[in-house]
Amino acid sequence: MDRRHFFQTFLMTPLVGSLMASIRLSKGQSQLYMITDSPQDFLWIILQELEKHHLIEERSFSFSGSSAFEKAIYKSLLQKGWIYYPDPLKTSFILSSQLLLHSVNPSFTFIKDGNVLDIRSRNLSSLWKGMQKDGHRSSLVTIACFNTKRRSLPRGRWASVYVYGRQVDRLSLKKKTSKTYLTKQGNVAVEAEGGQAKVSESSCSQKICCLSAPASFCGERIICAPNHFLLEIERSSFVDTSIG
Amino acid sequence: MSIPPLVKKIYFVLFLSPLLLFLNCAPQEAWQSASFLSFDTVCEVHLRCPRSKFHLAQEEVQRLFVEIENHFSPRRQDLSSCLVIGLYRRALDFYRQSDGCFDITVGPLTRLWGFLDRPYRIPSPRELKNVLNLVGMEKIKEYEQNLILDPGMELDWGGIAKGLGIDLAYNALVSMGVDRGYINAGGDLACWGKNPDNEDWKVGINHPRRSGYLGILSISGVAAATTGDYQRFFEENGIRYHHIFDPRTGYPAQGKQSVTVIGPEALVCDALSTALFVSENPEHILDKYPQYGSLIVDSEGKISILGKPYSFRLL
Repeated sequence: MDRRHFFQTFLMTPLVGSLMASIRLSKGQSQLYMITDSPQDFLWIILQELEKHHLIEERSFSFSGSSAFEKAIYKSLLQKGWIYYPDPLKTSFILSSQLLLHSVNPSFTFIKDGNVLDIRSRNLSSLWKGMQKDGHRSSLVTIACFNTKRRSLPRGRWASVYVYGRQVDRLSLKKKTSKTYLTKQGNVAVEAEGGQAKVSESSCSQKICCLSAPASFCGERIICAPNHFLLEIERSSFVDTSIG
Repeated sequence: MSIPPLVKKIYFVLFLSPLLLFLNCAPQEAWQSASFLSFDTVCEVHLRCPRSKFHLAQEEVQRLFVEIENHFSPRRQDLSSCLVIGLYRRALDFYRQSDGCFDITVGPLTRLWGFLDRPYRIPSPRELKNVLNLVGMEKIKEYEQNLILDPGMELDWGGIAKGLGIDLAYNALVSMGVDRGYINAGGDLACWGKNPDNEDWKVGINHPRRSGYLGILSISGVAAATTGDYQRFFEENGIRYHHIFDPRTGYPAQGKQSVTVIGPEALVCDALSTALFVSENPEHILDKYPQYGSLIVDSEGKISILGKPYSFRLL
């Protein structure tokens, strides 16, 4: 697949841009974006290629929310041997769909660890050409979010905040909280609500901490190295600590 | 004779209130935690002690870790330091007991494969043959409190220095009177006393291939360390090349995904986990360390438990 085509589409589609900006990308997370009116025809081909490149652990999927297109995708994937689970914690990826404001050329791309991943393969090349062949534009984007890290971990209830290695605060993930922590290099703002905590603002230049996915599972961390800041979801009594 | 009220008041102020004040100000023990970056990883300290003591304890642990980093990191090695000579002698013992499977002279291999300075690469057989001439602890000479290396030799303390740091930190904390807690330096761990639930510490061993745990150790008064092929690696043409080299061949050791060792000293756990990972006959090495037990996951995912049994629950 050619990343230039994706970015042409990306720039022409404001909704996709804001969608991507709102998704918190972090190490270990990957997303597939596919713009086509008939995702059920093409999704399984792309997933097959991702499997060959060991980018998918297990043949299981779930849906986030509900949309009219779910049924067709569900049927198509089941026919190709994929397993559906209602619980997203049990699956390799979660699917969602969204309508675009404007119609654009069909395309797809894969983002891994915050970077566009170029996968060169004959099947994907043919698929790309096939999607573009009849000139029909599309207004539907389907997103597959691969997030395997969290599956076996329990959800946390508290987040500990460390600055320069010292615990400075402890936040309940149930209560809506916004706090700013001052460091020698600047400041880091944290928001906690609905079982998760995230860095909403930071004085660092790269803002990688702001782009990290909200942390909600035991042991998950968000780090801002320039500010010597660390947020960690406290572990449950399941284990005290881990090695390996 | 009754005591006048004024005298009673004076008595209270002079004698009882300081006593009450003292009792209220006695340091309260509580569980305290700290996480900080050291050894290129996130280190955790979790202790039960008064708050004032915890700050001192944390500073001491960080100071010791910095000391270890200063003495043993790849670019800063003082071959005449007592600490370095002392650790070299321990490493030499492991080298001999493991028939060369544990070897701190693999520095040139680490560099050749790109694990020291990227990019990762697969060296040619000729390059490996040349570099293997620089590997082997028998080539190190100790002379008048100095280590003498042949030109081109490089020491890699990665399989033992962290364990030393954990042991030094543990000893410092115990001597400060901290009798419950754990120190975890990115997978090398020491724990003692009871956990907050008044039970042995529950230590999860991360699964080498999946997210989540392989199983849970229930331990106290011991250390543990894990070496795995998933900690630092690259893949090419579907083959995984990791950072644990067989010093005898120059290639990453084959046949195992992870090795966890549990026992009294973190330094020994650290070195043994590397030696057992490399060796084709880990039982033979472990027999020489009867106080230590291990959990080995082979390349097929099969789990073996060897040596002294420690409480372990498979998930």
